[in-house]
Amino acid sequence: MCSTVCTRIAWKSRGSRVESERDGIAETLWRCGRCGTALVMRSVTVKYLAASFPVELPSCPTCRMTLVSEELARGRMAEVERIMEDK
Amino acid sequence: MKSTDLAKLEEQCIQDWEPPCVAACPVHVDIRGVVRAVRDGAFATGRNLFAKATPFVHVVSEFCDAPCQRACHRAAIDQAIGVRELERVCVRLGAVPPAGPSRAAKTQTVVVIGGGLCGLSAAFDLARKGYAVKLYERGSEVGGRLLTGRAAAARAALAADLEPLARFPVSIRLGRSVDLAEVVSTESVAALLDLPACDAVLVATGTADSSTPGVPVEANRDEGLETFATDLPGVFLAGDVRGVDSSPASWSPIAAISEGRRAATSIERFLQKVSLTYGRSLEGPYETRLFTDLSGVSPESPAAMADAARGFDPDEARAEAERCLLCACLECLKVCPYLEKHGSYPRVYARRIYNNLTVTKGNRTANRFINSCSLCGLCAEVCPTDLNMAPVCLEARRTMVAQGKMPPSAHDFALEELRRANSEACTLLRHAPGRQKSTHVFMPGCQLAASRPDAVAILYARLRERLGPEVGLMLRCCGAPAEWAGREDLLETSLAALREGVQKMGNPTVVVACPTCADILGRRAPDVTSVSLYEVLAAGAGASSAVPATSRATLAVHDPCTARHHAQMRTAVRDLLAGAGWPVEELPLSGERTECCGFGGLMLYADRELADEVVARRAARSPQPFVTYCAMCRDRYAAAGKPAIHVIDALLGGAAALESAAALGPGFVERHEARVRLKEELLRDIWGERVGPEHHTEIVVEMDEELRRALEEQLVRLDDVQAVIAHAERSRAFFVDSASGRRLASYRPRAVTYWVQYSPAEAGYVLHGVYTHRMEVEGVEGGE
Repeated sequence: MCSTVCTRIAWKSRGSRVESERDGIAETLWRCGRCGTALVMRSVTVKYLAASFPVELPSCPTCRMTLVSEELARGRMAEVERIMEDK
Repeated sequence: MKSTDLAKLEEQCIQDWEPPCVAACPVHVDIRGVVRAVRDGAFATGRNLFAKATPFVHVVSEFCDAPCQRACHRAAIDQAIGVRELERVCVRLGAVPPAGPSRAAKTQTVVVIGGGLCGLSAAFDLARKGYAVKLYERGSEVGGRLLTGRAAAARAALAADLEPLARFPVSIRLGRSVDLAEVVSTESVAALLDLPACDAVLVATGTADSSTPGVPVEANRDEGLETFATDLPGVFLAGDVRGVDSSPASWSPIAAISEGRRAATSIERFLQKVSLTYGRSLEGPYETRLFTDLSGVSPESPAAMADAARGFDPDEARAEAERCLLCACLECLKVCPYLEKHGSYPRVYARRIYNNLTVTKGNRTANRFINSCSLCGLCAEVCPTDLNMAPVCLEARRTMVAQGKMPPSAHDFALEELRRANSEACTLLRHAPGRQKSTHVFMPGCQLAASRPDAVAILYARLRERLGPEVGLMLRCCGAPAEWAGREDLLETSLAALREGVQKMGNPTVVVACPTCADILGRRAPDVTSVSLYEVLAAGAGASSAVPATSRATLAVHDPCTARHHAQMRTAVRDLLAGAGWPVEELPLSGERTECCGFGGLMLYADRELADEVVARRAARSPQPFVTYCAMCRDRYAAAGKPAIHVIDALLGGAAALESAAALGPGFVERHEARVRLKEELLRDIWGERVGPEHHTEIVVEMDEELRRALEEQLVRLDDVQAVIAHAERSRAFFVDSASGRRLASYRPRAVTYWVQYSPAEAGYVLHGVYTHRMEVEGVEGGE
């Protein structure tokens, strides 16, 4: 069911400064607090209500910890949450 | 909501009924539309609207007997709107291309006997629908009684109307007399008239022919419906021939045109072999159910007309059109910014809600609409048919919850507040110190406990003086947010716990300070005996404590919306204020017609912008400071910059009470903290008990005022921020910016992930920012 929803609402990149990808290295000022490693873009699963879909987000390659930026949370993510709530 | 419920609601809302002028018009000209067109100077539009009701626009605008003007509400105030003159100016100035027959030609032929307005109207309607029409007129010209006494003018108007109809398939034969008796007695009308075929006949010969027996007409009169059919299949009778009053004084050109049109409709249905009667109850003049409030309408003289023979010029016409009230009900929209905001009215809203609940494909576009009603019920108080949107919206919320389609974001802050207010940290249930039973138990309610913890102790002492020593105390929430959120399960759980507590206390009378608690207990737990604090205080006050009205400022009483149906509580509050020497003023909408502050029904969480508009609008209704008896209302007004005091301040604080009228209450995210502290303080001060170490201030977080406001706006509680930092520091699960030393961490205690940006400081942590999301993201720390 969700694959159609996902393709339509996937928000990858969209000119976001923080998540824009260059050679797999995420352009963000944040590093992992545990191991100090720079974050890389990685495909992670995002779930909401009855749907789940993959999204590329900056993560620590060692600890696998994922970062959601403020810009993404307040922007596209909030928008998609609203859309899915009205489905 | 069942489809029958929807139909009932749609029937109950009368806004779609026509204004009195249109209902009284036998052909139902869209007079409101014509008036709007004239106001805009769009005369062609006006003429088009007019011509939809009848092609005889010249005849009607010159000679109509204007039943619309007799029905006009202005007729009772000054003088009816000059509708006929407005139509006339549209006809004169609004040039429109003539319409041709709009449908494909049909093979059937209809004979119309009689060339008066009734016959002509029927003939051209049928021709427009594609039927071949043969019209027979006994005289040497058509027009019938219209020509009587004004032949030249009537001829000119008729000619102007017939000219664009020349392309219609109507053949007119003058000088051929056919009477009803012939039609009735012949085997074949076609043979009688030398026609190849005749599929239906309309007799509209004008004069009543009482000598023609055996043609019973109007078999459907019983149902109040005229079909103009006779017992002879295919033979119809319309106009004066039916022997209705035909005295010259009562002859109505527009009625004749209407009869012709309605007879044509019957003939078409007969030829198509469908029901003659279905769906026709509003043909011809009828009584409208539309209500229009006329209070405040002042008399205005009709617009002047410099040249009566010519008619209005555009400016004169506009002036006359401006007088029109554009009759409409919309009583509910006048008092409810929520109903007004969504651009329509309850009849349409009911359909939207129904669609939202039954949608299988596509979006649920009415979710926000359903969730932002304050459920205050003011609409029902002002509605001429008592239509109440509150139960409609509430039932819709319950259905959405049951369907699993309630957006999680809609109510979870409020429901979490409820859960916390009824958790161990905030609830308290005690007999008075040293007592083993209670005659009464004081329930301040969760919002007063959060807003005015200081007042709770004072009131509790006051009640023990007033009601005797056996007055217990109960801190908890009544469960109202659960009801508002459509969560009957949570409401039942909350009420069950409350009931159990009251039973354990020996069923004392619950003295409630909050009108919402009173309302919930009264409706949802009537087995629990309850009384409002204000009635208790007013009953005990007596005349002795009356303070003479001094120079105290006048207060405007704001009745909380949940006190709408609690007249005794409202009276008690006023008695208390009078007794304490406060002069009061009544707001334009008060008592049973009071307005909500924007918090009711959880409007605030569904549409904060609207809730702010609601509170601002209410605040502006009086320049006086407000006095109210709901802690949430009080804080809402103060937050909106409107000085407001709680009635308990007016009683306890004397004239100085107003000094705190502008003081802000705790924010939404600070209320829980306040409740936790209140319980601890009361236990310590009244029962001499110490509560365990304060666990909720373990982590010190510093923030500036701007961030504090941002937290309030995003409904992020301080303890959620503390939980994120605690989790991050414990597990070292955070991101770090080496340049600034700032940390970014997340935690998901419930269905929300909180992200906090902070720096360690000497005595704790400095907060830099907070944001949240609801989606669950793989690899995000602190997930469930």
